[in-house]
Amino acid sequence: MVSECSSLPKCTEEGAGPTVVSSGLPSLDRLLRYRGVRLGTLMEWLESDDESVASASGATTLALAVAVHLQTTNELAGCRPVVLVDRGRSFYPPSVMPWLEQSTHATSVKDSSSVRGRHSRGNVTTGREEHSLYIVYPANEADELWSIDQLLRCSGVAAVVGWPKNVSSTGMRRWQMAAKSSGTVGLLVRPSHARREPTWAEARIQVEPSPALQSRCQHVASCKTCNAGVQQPVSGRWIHSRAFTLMKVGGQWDTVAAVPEPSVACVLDLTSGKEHVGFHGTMEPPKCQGTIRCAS
Amino acid sequence: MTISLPRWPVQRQILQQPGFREHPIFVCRQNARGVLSVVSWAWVMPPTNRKRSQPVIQPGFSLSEALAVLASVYGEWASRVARIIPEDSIGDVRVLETLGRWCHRFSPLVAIGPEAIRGADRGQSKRRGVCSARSLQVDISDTARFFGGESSLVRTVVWTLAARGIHARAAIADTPVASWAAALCAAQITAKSQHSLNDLQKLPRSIPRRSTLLKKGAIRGSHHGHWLDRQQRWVLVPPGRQRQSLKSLPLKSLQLPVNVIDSLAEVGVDSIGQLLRLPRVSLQERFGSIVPMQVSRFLGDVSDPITPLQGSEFLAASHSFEMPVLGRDMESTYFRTLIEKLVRRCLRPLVNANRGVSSLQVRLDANEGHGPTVIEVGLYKPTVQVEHLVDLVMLRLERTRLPREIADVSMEVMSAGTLPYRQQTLFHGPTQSDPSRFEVLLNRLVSRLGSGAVVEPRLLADIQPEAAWVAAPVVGVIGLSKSRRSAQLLGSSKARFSKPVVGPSRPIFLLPSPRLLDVPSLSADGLPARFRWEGQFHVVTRSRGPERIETAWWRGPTVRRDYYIFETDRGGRFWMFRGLRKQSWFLHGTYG
Repeated sequence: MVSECSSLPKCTEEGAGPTVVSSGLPSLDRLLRYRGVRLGTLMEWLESDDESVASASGATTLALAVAVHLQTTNELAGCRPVVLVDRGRSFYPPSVMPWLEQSTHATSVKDSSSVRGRHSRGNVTTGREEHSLYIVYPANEADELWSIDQLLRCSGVAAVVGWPKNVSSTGMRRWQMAAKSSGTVGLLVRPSHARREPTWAEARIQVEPSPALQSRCQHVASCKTCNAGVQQPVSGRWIHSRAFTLMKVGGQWDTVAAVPEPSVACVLDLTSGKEHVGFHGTMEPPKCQGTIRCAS
Repeated sequence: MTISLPRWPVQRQILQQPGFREHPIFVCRQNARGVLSVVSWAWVMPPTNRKRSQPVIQPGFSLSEALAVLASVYGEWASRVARIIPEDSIGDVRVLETLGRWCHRFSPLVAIGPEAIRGADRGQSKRRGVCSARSLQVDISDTARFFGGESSLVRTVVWTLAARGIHARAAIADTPVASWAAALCAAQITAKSQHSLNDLQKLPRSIPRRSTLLKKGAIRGSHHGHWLDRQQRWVLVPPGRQRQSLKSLPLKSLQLPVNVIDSLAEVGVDSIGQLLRLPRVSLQERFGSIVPMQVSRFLGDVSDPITPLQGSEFLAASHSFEMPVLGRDMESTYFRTLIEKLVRRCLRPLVNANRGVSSLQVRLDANEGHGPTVIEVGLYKPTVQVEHLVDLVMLRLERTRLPREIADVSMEVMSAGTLPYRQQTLFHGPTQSDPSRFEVLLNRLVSRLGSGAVVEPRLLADIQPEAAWVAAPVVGVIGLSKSRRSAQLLGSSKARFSKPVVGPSRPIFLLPSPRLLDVPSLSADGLPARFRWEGQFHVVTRSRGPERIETAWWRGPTVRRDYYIFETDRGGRFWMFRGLRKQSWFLHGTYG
């Protein structure tokens, strides 16, 4: 009870509403208590139950999509970098660099419009070369836990993405307090067996790849030529999107409020890191729309 | 005194990435036609086999020629493990400047060697095909006596640099041109002037008795292909005797233009001694003023001022204990107080000049017989925050094994820079971020995890997936921020090549090395119908490919692969390839 009270949103402490931003995935927002990600909290992403496809299930892809979106969404703080703590040294940046370039471009356009061409935020005021992604390579588990802790304490970081395997409840609590003090969001991708462990994360999301939904996504893509009267599958287009089933399997708020939808479907556009609009909020086969539209 | 740094481009790479010592390193330059030529190369730790001859690879060789020579001596595997690095002459000069500031411990006047200036101004390095920014000039007038004389100083310089992992040759002479020639051609002095060694021994302040020139067995033939000998590292030219001592050196050591050297060679003038016998008037009529001017500089007839590095005051502070204290008895609070005191003393002059510390070094000196414990702290941006600097030093000390006894604690500012200007905001909200906090965080991470552990990913337009990006450390080895260097490097590479391959066709995780897969059954088109991974069989439901990746022959070991993206019945997505040589299937990445 004490822990729950200490982590109540700021609306009860300061009289103002908690700072909540969209995760960039409308389907995921529906799963979360505040219909978005509350700044200064942790979020756990559990990989697939099937351990043979755990590393290929897409949990990291979703976590990175949310991190990139958070980088540009928090208007109070400007463009802050995303930092990855990669002890396994296996993350491959070319897969997500286009997302970062798009978000950086969007931020620069927004900034220039908001200041009416006088000065742009970033290089002029900070004097620092702006980079949107940093990677930290800790040598051992102790360094990994320390690095995540230090990053979560820094208000100059938009989001921290890590793959910690073993975290004690005390360590997780420390991270939660660190994130709360700085407003940084921690996105932790963890193996599925971590579901049995206690958590201080605000939400714990189980990610399962959904081949059935993926095939329907391909259907929509293949009907792009409906108007011409020719229906031929567009070869290889399926690699540009990926379908998931997201389930909320735990989190700090389970005892406080019931979650209306325990699971949702989500189709992610891997080119932009955003969700396909035509799919969120329903498990029914979507109607043919002639093309895939992305959430703006 | 001239400090020559042979194969400096390679040395710098090894300094920043010590793992390169185990591989043959080729620093290459790409010409307009796309052919890579070798600027410098070395193999610090080659396989030990005395029967093998040393490969002779000259700067200017094409990379394919160099790899062929390497393979002929060590076998084909040697060319496969070779590391090929693009030339970064600007980065070389920057690190050389940092090293020059470090050399202020020997003299207050230190300058970059003349070849760097000449190459940059006249574009000669491109014409020669050889990078030449690789020496430092140190004015040791009246400072040698503090080191026990010139003989002691020149040895101290060489071995102090060697302790930092830098291979150097040093030479002391009356004039900068003479010392530069002696340092550059120390090996030739030994090899070519056998007949004059006796003359050198008779001189009053001749080559020191422990010097390599007098050592038996110090002479070697070719030095190309292997790291240089430790025994040919310093030369001391007696006062007023550079004409006699260095007469056998080739003309290239006199910093003359290539066309002049070629013209003189046509008439049989190959050495400095032969040139000095010619009348200067006729040299001026034939070649203009540059040749007689260099001869006059060599002999000391005209002054040859050097341009010292600017803004290079070397700040230091130290504390000596009355009695050596045991390292294990040093309380962290006392240590912190001591470090803070030293930091404040170092910072005082910098603050007034609106400058901050970029890197500093802390030395814990033990009693005689034990080497000092050295801690280097590099920063992302210059700072004058005492608390922050003390935190960084303490972070490193926590992970350092202290010597048993500590007699002195000294601190030196290795490099300093102008403090960045920051716009102050009127209001600070609870969630507003301060960019400097992130820089503080980067410094903390680098201090604890090491300079190579905090990186920025930069894309490269390389077709081979393993080389499609580079991890650029945010803080360099000796205080150099590498982000600018890597930006220059990548900017030039972007101009030369096509766009990098990014997006959904690339996996989220790339395995460190491709893993051979067990593929029990193939479909009609030759693709895997099932494969075994993590102890489970996966049935392929759909695939995308092939994406053929084939590297060029001049890059070294050829890579020929057909990449496919496979999705399985369990929903996993994998990035696999079929090797075109053995037709085996490998897993190279996953879409995690």
